[in-house]
Order: sequence, then C-alpha cells, then structure tokens
Amino acid sequence: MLTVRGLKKRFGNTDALRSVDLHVEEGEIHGLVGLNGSGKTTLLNVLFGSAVISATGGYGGEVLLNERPVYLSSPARAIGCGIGMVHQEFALIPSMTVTENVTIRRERVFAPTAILGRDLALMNAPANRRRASSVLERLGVRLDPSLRVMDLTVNMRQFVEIAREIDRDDLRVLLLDEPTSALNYGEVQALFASLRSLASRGVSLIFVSHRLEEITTLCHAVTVLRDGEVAGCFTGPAYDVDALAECMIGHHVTRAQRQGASRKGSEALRLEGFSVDMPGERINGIDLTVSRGEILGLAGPSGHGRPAFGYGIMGMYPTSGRVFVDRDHIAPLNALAMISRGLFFIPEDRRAAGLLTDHSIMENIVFAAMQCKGAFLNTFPFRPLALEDRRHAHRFAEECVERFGIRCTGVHQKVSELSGGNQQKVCIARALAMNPGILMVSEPTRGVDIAAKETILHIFLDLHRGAGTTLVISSSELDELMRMCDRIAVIHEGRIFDVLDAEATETEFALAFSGERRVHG
Amino acid sequence: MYRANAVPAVFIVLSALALYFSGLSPSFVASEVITRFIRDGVMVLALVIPVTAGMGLNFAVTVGALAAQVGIVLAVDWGLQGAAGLFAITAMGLGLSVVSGFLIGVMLNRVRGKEMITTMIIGFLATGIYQLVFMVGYGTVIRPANQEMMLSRGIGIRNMLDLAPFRNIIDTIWVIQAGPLEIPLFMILMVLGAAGLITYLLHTRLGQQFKAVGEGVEKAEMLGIDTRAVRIKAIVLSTVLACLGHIIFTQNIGMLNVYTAHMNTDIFACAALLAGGASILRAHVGHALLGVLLFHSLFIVSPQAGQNIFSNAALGEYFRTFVAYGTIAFALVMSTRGRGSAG
Amino acid sequence: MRSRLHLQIPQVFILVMLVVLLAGAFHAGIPLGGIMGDALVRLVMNGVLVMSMIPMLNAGLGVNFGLPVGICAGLLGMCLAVNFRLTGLAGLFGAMLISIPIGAVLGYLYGRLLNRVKGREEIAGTFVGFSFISIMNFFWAVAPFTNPTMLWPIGGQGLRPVIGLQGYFAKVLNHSWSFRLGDLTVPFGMLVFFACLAVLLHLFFHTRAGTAMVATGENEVFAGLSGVDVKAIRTLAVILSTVLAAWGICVYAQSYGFLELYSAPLMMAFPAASAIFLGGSLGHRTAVIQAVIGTFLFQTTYVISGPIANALLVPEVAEIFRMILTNGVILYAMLYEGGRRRRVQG
Repeated sequence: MLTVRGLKKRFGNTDALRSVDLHVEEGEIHGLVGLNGSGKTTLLNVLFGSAVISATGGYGGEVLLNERPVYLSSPARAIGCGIGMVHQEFALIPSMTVTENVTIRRERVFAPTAILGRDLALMNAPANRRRASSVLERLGVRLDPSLRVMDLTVNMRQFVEIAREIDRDDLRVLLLDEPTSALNYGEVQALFASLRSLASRGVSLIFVSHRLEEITTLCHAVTVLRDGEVAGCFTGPAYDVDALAECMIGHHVTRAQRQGASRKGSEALRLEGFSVDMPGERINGIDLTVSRGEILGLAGPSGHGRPAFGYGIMGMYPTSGRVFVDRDHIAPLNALAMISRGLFFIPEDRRAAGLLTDHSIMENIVFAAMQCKGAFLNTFPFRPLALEDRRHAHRFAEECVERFGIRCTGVHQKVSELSGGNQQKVCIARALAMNPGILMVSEPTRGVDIAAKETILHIFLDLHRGAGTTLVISSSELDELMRMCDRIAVIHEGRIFDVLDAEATETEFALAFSGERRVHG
Repeated sequence: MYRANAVPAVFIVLSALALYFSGLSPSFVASEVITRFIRDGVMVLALVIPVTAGMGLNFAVTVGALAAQVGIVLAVDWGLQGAAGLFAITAMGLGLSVVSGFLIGVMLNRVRGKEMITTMIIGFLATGIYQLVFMVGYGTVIRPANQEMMLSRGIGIRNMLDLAPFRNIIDTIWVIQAGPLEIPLFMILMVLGAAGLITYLLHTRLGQQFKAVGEGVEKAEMLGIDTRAVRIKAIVLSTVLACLGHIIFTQNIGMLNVYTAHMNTDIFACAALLAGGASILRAHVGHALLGVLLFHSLFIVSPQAGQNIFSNAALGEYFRTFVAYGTIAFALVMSTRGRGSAG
Repeated sequence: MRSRLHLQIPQVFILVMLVVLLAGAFHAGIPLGGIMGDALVRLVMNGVLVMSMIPMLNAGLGVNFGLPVGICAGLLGMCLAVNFRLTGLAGLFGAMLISIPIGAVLGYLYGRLLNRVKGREEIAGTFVGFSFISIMNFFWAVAPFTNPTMLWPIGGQGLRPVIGLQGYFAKVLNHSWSFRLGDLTVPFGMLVFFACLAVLLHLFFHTRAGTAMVATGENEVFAGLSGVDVKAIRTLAVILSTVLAAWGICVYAQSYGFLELYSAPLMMAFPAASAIFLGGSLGHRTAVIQAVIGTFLFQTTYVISGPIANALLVPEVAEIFRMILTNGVILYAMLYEGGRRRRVQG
C-alpha cells in the first residue's frame, strides 16, 4: 500500500531524515518508534504533507501509494491521496461541536441545494449529527455530539480526533501520532479494537507511540528510527520490548567522559511541589533537590515537560509551588531575581530565545551582564544614562572567542552568520560573563555537528571542574547525559518518573522513557 | 467564549439618556433610525465574514464603496438612467469589487496577524488612486462624454454629482405608512435578505471553512483546508457586499459627494458592528443588525442632546466621533487572545 | 550594516521622482535655492516627529500610529506656554519643558494599554490615537484658558481651531542663527538643534536601557531570560516616543507659525510612518540616520511637488500625490515585512 524509498529531509544544515525506507502492507498496523530527534515526527510530517516540510524546501526520495509515486506537497494533497492523520496536538476547532469537528470538509448537505456546488450547499445538520454519533459508537465512546470540543476532557478530544479520520470512506493510510498518551487502560483497549477492525477493512496504519508495550501488542511490524535512519525493522512475534529498547538507543563510542563522581556540597537548588503552566510542556508538582557541585541530567520524551524546568524557574510561564536557591525561598520568580542569585539558563532554542541573531557576538556576550550587573558600562555621573564600555566588552568578547575557539571573522560578526556549534559557544560565553553558580542548560548539543559536540561537552565539564559550577543539563540525547551526569531525572507526563544514577543500563533508561516500570522476572 | 458583552447595554443606556435630553420626538428618531438602517445595514453586514474568518475588522470596505462610486460616476458620464442605469452601476461595481477584493485578499495573505492595519492603509491608498483618476485623470487622459459633470477648468469631476436619474428608485417600493412613520418594506427586506444570505453562507461547507480558518490557520491547514483561498474568498465577499451597501446608500441620498462620500464608511460600519456586541474575533449577523440600530440611535440624538445639556452642539458632535473611534479602540484593547491565532 | 541601507523599491521610486521633479522645477524656472532652504526647514519641522517613532519601533511595538497622543501632549504644553504669555525661545523651550510631564503621564497610560495588545499594537494605537483626539476636542472646547488670542473671538469660551503664534514663538527656531548663502537661507540654529537631538537619541541606544530596548524589540524571550523587565522597557519606549512626539509638534508648530488644535493631528502619524520606511527601515530596528534620510526625501518631494502642481493648473495633484506616496510606501513596507517574516518562520 505505502512504500517510502530513500526519504531525505534537511532542516537548515541538520539532517532530520537520511534515507529512510519503509513499507506498509494493506491492512497492516505498522509501529514506528525512536527517541526524540530520531525523525519520527519528521517522517509523519512528510507523509502528511505538512506545511513545515514544504516551507523548508520539501523532501527528497520517493513515496509510493499502491505502487504509484506521489509527491505530498500539502495536507490537502495528502488527504486527497487517502492519507489521514491523528495529530498528537489535535487538529480540532475548539469552538465547534463534536459533530462539526468529526464531519468537517465532509459535511452532508441538503440535496436540493447541491446544485450550488459542493461548498455553497446548505449543510444537513441532523444527518451530520447521526453520522458523528454512529462513528463515535463504533469507537465505543458515549458522547453527546452537540457538545463543543472546548468543553471536553483531553481523552474525549482524543476520540473526536480519531473519529474524524475513521469517518472517512476514502481512508487508505492512517497516521497516528501518540494517540494513546491521553487515554486510560480501558480506553486504549477500546481504541485498539477499532484500529484492528479498521485494519481488517484494508486500511494501513502507522502507529507512533512511546509506550513500547502498546507497540508490541498492537503492531504487526515495527520500524525503529535512530538519528534519521532506520535502525531496525521487526516483524512477526520475534520482537519484544527489550529488543526495541536496545535498538532505539543503539551502541555508541564513549568520548567526553566525566572523571569520577563530583563531590557533593550543600543544597543549591530545591523545588517543592513545583508546577509550570507551559503550553504543551506542563509539569505538575515536582520535588527535586540539586546539590552544589553536582551535575544533574533531565531526560524524558518531548511534550512531557522537560523544557518547562528552565523557563519555569526563570519565571517565563505561570508557576506554582516553591523554589529555593541556597535554602532561600525565591518569590516572585523572575529572571532578574534568579540571575542575581547566581543562576543562569541557556535555553534550547537558540534562535528563538538564546541569542539576538541580528546582533554581534560581542553584544550577545555582554548583554545579560550589562543588564543585570551593570558590567561593561562607562562610569558616568548619572548611572542610568551611562554609555556601554565597548573597549572593555571587546576585550572580554575576544577572550571568550579565543578560550572557546569560536570560529568567526571577529567579535563584531553577526551571530546569525555562525554555525550552530559556534552559536552555542556564544551562549556559553554569555553565561560565563555572569559567572553563575548554577547553570541550567537545555539541549546543549542540538543542531551542532559532531566535532563541536565534543568541544561543547568538554567546556561544560571544564567549567564544572574548574569553577565548581553546578550544572543542570536537560537533553534528549541520553547518551550525552549518561556520560556527563551524576544523576539523571527522567520526566514523564509532567512528573519525575525516576531518578537514575549514571550507571543504570540503557534498557532501564529506555523503559523509564516509555513510562514503564521494569518487572524483573 | 460566550461572554456577555456590555457594549450594547452601554449603548442602550447612553441612547436613552441622550434621547431624554435631546427632547426629540421618538417617532422622528425612529424614522431616522429606519433610514440609517437601510442606508448602512448592508455595509455593516459586509464586515461579518472577515471577522469569522479570523481577519478582524475589514477597514478595506471603503474599497467596495469606491467600486460603487466608480460605477456611479461612469453611469453618469455615459448618461445611463433609471432602473437599467442602476443595474449597470451594480454590474460595474460588483465586477470591480471582485477584482479589488481578490487583490486585497492576496495582500492580506502576506500580512497575517496585521490584517486590520493593512486594510486601513489599503483603504487610504485606494482613496488616493481614486482621487487621482477622477480629479486629475478625467479631462486629461480620460475624455468625458458628459461635460456637465466636469469642473469649469476642464480637468477633474465636480465634487457633487446629482443622481436624480437614480434617486430613490428602489426605496419607494412597498412603502407602508404606519402612523407618523414611513416604512420602506422592500428596503428593509433587502437588508434582511443580505443578512439571510450571510447566515446561509455560514451554514455551508464554505462557512465551516471560514470558521475553521478563523479559529486558527495552522489547524485549518492540518484539516486540508486551503486557508489562503478561504481568506481571499472572505475578503471578496466582504468587498462585494460593501459595494452593494454603498450603492443602496448613495441612491437613497440621491447625491454623490464624489471625493468624500466613501470616507469613514469603514469606521462607522465597524463601530456599529461592535456596538451590537461583536468583538474582533466573533461577529454574527445579529450583532450587525442590532449594532446599526443602536449606533445610529445614539448618533442621531447626541448633537441635540449636547446642545441642550451644554448649550454647545459641537460637544455632541465630538461625543459622536468619540463614540465611533472609542468603540473600536475599546474592542481592540479588550479582546486579548494575543498572537495565538494571528501567527 | 550593509543590508540596512539596501535600496528598496520605495527608495528607488522616490529618487527617480526627485530627479524628475527637480528637472521639472528647473524647467519651470522655480528657484532651486529657495527649494533647498524650504527642504531644510521642513526636514527639521517634521524630523522630530519622525524620530519620535524610533523608540517604539526599536522596542518591537511597531509603527506608532498613536502619534496623536504625543502630539496632544505637545499641543497642551504649547497652549499653556501661550497662556502664560511666554515668548521667543523661552516660549518654545518652555512649551517643550511643560510637555515632558504631560507626555510622560500620557505615554505611561498609553504604554500600559499597548502592553495588553501585544502583536496588535499598530491598529490598537491607531484607534487609541483617534479616540484621544476626540477626547481632546472636548477639552479644547471647555478648557479654562484665559489668553484672549487663543479663545473664540465671540463668547470667549473654548479654544480656536487655529491659534496664531505671532508674538509668541512663531519661527523662533527657524530664524535663530540663520544665514543666507546666495539665494539659499540656511536655518543653522534649527539644524544644530535637530542634530543635537538626533545624536542624543542615537547615544541613548547605547545605554543600558537603550540596549535593553533594542533587544526586547528583536527577541522578547531573550531579553526576559537575560533579566530585562520586558513590560517596563516597552512602557519606557512608549513614554519616550510620546515625549518626543510632543517636542516634535512644538518644533512643527513654531515653524508653521500656528497651533492647530481639534482634529488637525488626526492623520499626522501616516506621513511620519511613511518617512521612516522611506529611510530604509522595515518596521523594526531603526537607526536615527534612517529617520533623517527618510524625512529629507519625503519632505523634499513635498516641497517641489507643490509649485509644479500649481504650474500644471491642478493644485490638488500635489496633495493626492502625497497621499498615494504616503500610503503606498507604508503598504509596501508591510507587505515586504510580512513576506520576510513568513520566510524566516517557515
């Protein structure tokens, strides 16, 4: 039914997919697993013709439907080809009713008005409601179809999202992106039953989930993605959770490695019942203590709240609970208060939050220090109107360029012209100008090429060894965390699922990622 | 989402107070309000669809009004008369507004999130081009057939065109006398017909697409909706309705102020819509119909009320402009869904 | 830096227009020296108003279409100065001084409003400005001013729509230190004043608050994470823009010789916005020099097109031309910026 050959996709200068092959038979339920950044989402986006793919230059390779090559340029095109998608973040219109959402673009119309054309014919509301009720019934859900979607619970929304796709008569391939993350056990079983019956009608399904148990129960075959490539393909009953987990993580060559455990000092940062209301990345009631001089890792799938740590502690989103720095309760939470207590945060999205891309290297490096500490300012009788001390700033920036090996034409070069690795080094230099006691880093090596990766990790380790900086590193690269950290907290569904030490096995990590407790037999 | 909107209530209270102080007879006010309802109703209705499609208030309804004026000026130039003339005006105006609506739609697709200010500038720019054509182009590049409408210097059209050949052609149909009131039933039905048309459109698949795009372009795209085309359709419909509304307005007045008649139609229409309880994110025909009544009631009585309270008619006049601008400013400041849908 | 001085269609268009107009003026025998002198006067006359847009642009609030708020602050300052019968340079600077606190208060309130409507500041500002004008109309009509030159001659209540500044501070800046150079009058004092203001504004963007403003305009999340109070900085930018706009109208009115009240400032934001874009700014980080260049180009076409239109027997054409130029340039800038943003986001 669906064949993908040599699929390639680049975002800027990073490869998201490097030659992926995939084949799904008619009526097959095909699992797709992989860690964050392995290319699962990109693959789904390509298959559904998402705007993010076409806006970044399209994709390479071939997609065949029933042996016929198709180019999926837009969601409309993909839908026209019989492809449907259950989106993780739901493509539902909140103010519309369940009926309207289930039947959108396929509304039944009154026959006499159909002469006005498809789009201008009057909708037949009762027929649409009947249709919506019947499809919800097939899914085993009792739900009043005249309710508005915004009044529904998350699991009901999930069913509406699924119902919209199942209702299609022309559906040939259905992509499901984490359709079970909002459902409880019973609902998952009901969903699986209807997915199986869908498959038995000849629809091919691609099922993405981080819950490996579900994959092994539901899917006929599984493809494992790792670093944008197919790491393995399992068919038949010959696979189990352990095999998948091992395949997801893969084996790696150890490079930058921490030497021995850090000496632990007093409490540096403590969270008590800490919740952050960051859309799409909520965390709920977390308790966590970080000791001075420690390196703590934060791991966990995306959408489960990992990024909310840094942003929450810096007060960028509404929070509740209490935060202590050096045993002092900090309230209200805001960046200035945190920075003045010696805590600094390097966010994951450098372009959107970490750097002023239109400004020079020097301006970026000295900015926070100038704002928060009044550093790099000329002495002037009237402090608020003191001009920046460019000589001093220039000297400091040049030192940083030399110390971290930032490759650039000079400190006045625009940051947007640098490579990802060098941009990250500028971020580190920015933090260093603040001389922080606690440094929180998110995705320190995302979008950085392999050589620069090692340098950057070494810089952090040097900082830790030399200045005794406490590090909190949040990363989707588990292997990196295992090399760097004393302890690794795994975040799952907005909570700390487990705190593992660096010696835990990879399988234990993979399972913790999936939110599954290992039952040793 | 359904939040009781206090704006209509404020308008009712203010109008009642102003009516009391103005000392005007209710029947006079009622007949004036009916006239304004007929004149401005369709123009206000023209704003509903763009709001539904998430593009905010369409200040470029002035372009629709200009299309109507172009049709009228050409009809006068060619000496067209009566119902046939009115038909020709409508045909020309609609043709022009479809084309210009399409262009505006294309432009607005480039400026997602800043549609309102852009439509405003488009309106000003269109006014400039229109004035250039009729004040400078006529008599230099364009040879007029009808010399009577030209300024004495031979270049440019007179400020005021008498529309005697078209005056009140349609608003004298089915006029009912109800006590002291004259009720032009046909015209009221025409405005209600436009309201019905919009209601119908919003209950078609196209209407569902307007709503979906209005809730969020990204989600609509995920559903396979061609959001750019839907947004263009919304603006074309709005421009066409604005053109019709302005033709009704002008033939009712019976005169055309060539260079200024279209000005501020956008402001008054937007303020009326918001007075009816709409917001820049939500509007339906009920808001538009109620809004025209409320806004114009206040508009009619406030100068006289100002005269009676402060013995200064100008103060009532300032109050009127404040009401128009202030209503829009209030709506813009109060609805804070932020950038979410605007992107 | 290089990319900021890129020639866009509006600049090419206006340069071509200028050449054509100058040729036309030369052909029609209009003295070029007089035109140059007028152009310099009009540069300063409008330049301060245009410059007043820069703080808000740089702080990411977009074009300040709510310019009338600041203008009204300046008008009020001048009315008070006239009411106190301040004359000469003392009158002008007195008016500017009085308008600082007025502008600061109005700017603070206006800034608070704009912080509520992030992402829609331009359209909200437009209507806040419009409604503020109508509020001020009330005020002008009832304000208890006492100087009879300002009041309606009959009844003696309410301010006149146009107040002559002869005898107070009409053209005091235009005439200070001005000298003649052939048939060109150089308003030297005015130019010095303008240059000082421009340099001070430029230097402001190199102070701590100024750099924070530019950073906020480019990336609010970055600024927030680096310890900047984003809301406060945005409010500060609005206050600064409002006070500068107040000064701008003071300079404008003394040069024009009349105070225009009531609805006169209604549309003043649009030519100023257009001048900013003509200088090569595209609605974000804007250098002071761009505002100066833009104003000069805009005002020079204004100065030349008037006499030429008169020579063509259609005097309205100058006004229409200016309207098309103003709005065409703003629309172009918006469409260009919208296209750019789409590409960057995609």
